[in-house]
Amino acid sequence: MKIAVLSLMACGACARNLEEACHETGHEIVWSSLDGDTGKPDADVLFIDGAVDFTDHETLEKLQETTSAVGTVVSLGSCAATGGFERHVIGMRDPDRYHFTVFPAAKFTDTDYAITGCPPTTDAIAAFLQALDERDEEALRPYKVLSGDYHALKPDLPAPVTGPELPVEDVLLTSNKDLCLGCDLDVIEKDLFCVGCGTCSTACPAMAIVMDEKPVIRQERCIRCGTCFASCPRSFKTTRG
Amino acid sequence: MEIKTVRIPTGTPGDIHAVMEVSDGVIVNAEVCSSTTPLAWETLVLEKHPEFAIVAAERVCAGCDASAGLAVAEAIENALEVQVPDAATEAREALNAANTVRSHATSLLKSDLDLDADALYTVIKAAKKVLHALGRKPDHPPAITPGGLELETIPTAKVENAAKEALETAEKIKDDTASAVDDLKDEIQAEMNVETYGEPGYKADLTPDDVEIVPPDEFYRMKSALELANNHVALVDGNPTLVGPQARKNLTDHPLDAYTAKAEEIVESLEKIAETSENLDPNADVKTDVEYTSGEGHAAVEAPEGTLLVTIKLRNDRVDEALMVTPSNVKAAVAGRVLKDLEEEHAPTVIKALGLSGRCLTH
Ligand code: SF4
Ligand code: SF4
Repeated sequence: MKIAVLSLMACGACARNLEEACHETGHEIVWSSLDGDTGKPDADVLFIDGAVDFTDHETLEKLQETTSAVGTVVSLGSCAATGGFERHVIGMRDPDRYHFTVFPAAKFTDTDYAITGCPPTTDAIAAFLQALDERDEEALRPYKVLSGDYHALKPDLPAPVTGPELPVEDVLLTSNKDLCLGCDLDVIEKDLFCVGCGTCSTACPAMAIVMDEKPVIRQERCIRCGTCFASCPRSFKTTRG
Repeated sequence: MEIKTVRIPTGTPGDIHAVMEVSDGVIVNAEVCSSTTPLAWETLVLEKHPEFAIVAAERVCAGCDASAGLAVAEAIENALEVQVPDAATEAREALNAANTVRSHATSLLKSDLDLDADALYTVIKAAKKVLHALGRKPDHPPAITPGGLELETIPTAKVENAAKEALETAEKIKDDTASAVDDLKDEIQAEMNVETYGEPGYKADLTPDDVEIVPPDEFYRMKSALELANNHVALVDGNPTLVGPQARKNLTDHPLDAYTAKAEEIVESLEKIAETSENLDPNADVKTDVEYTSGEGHAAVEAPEGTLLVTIKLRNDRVDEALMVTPSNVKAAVAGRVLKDLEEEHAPTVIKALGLSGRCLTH
């Protein structure tokens, strides 16, 4: 596949891991804003890396221009998918004090898939690339669900929560994405879905989850990346089982 | 005389611009700045727990992530007068060295030199194994914590093997880089008459008293730079100063020697990691308990791209004040001078070699 990379407000780790995954899997990066490419990419897939300042019109225009040119758009990493760490930005620093309105790139453009993680590992990105290349719909399903605009979702449940076979969309609806994707764990636990497997704790990139039979989040280390939620085997129990 | 503003793609996150006065194709005056939206690490950590300041520092820029986390952890420890176990300091040094290997190899991949990508990814993989083993994840290593490292045991064998296995490839990269740099130097005539700061090793002795932080409206003189700049610059002992691999290796004849210095540091860092892990007891204590009280501390480390200084003031378990001076803050002050007398067309190659990141510059 021909890959394009648009890097926005981000530390660069996601793009770096994507480059490594592409090198390993033989996909070619044909366009990258990090390397000075501009305009409309001629690529099969566009990966967006990072968040956007709501008031940065130039970047928003760039986002529209690049996404409109490519058939498949992927939010790469939590900053692009959910806002992640960048949502902590509060501005208030000279000389540009008024930039505290930071949102995930996925809020401003339609995305087809999202890979959460801070950053997603090279292996995780390689697995996604393989699924996409093979058009493996079942393997792509979690990435598709995560690409929704979290901040538009309402916490109202469409139906009572009844059991662990709950479709993933319904689990997503049980939490308040305006506040924190990481806090989904509380919901999972409250609804008694958590089996205490510790997958979330192992996956957390900030070592912010300790296991005390059930996961306990050390909020002082949580960067709101959502990796815990995305990695939990119970939140991704699909209708097909 | 013409004034030109050029966005320089550096392969790193954020935007870097060179504003240049050009006469007959030669740069007679230049200023380098960043228009990147500031992350404002200094404000986003206020009133947060000190551990969050570490986690956040690691997400400023992927290039120096572990080093930034280490500098913040050490500043917190100095504020609280915490003595870190010797084994933790040794392991942290190896972690910083692994960060250097990965960062430099990535920079060589992004450079205008024609190098063997497979070889560079081999050393990147080795560095990631070390970062994973000592830092618990290959990126933004979360094991870095006030008091030491969050590790049950030190996986010394894994670390030693990873470093030793990559050494031969690193030697080849060093030779290839030296000859590629020589070839490119024939095309790009340049000189560097700049002050330098930095020594080989992990910890630096830079203190807040040595550094003057200048806001953009006081530093930049050219209108376009003033309009674009979202970054402060830092002077060392009152002077624009070069930090980073070239300064540490004292290889400052030509800006492209940055790559020669990086390739040499890759080999030396892998040797350092192997030597450290050989001497470390896997069961040694690597963490001291920390009690959060009030205090102020600073720390400086030699991050891959240069000296990185952090000061932090704590009020019990909250951050009261924080300051970070990054390698790019220091190098931005000297970047304009490096461009002077250079042919305009070579500005992007030279600025890329300097290793500036817009994100680091605006942090
Ligand atoms: S608990 Fe960990 S994985 Fe979950 S959102 Fe916070 S940092 Fe991310
Ligand atoms: S991964 Fe899910 S089921 Fe497992 S411990 Fe975490 S919340 Fe519970």
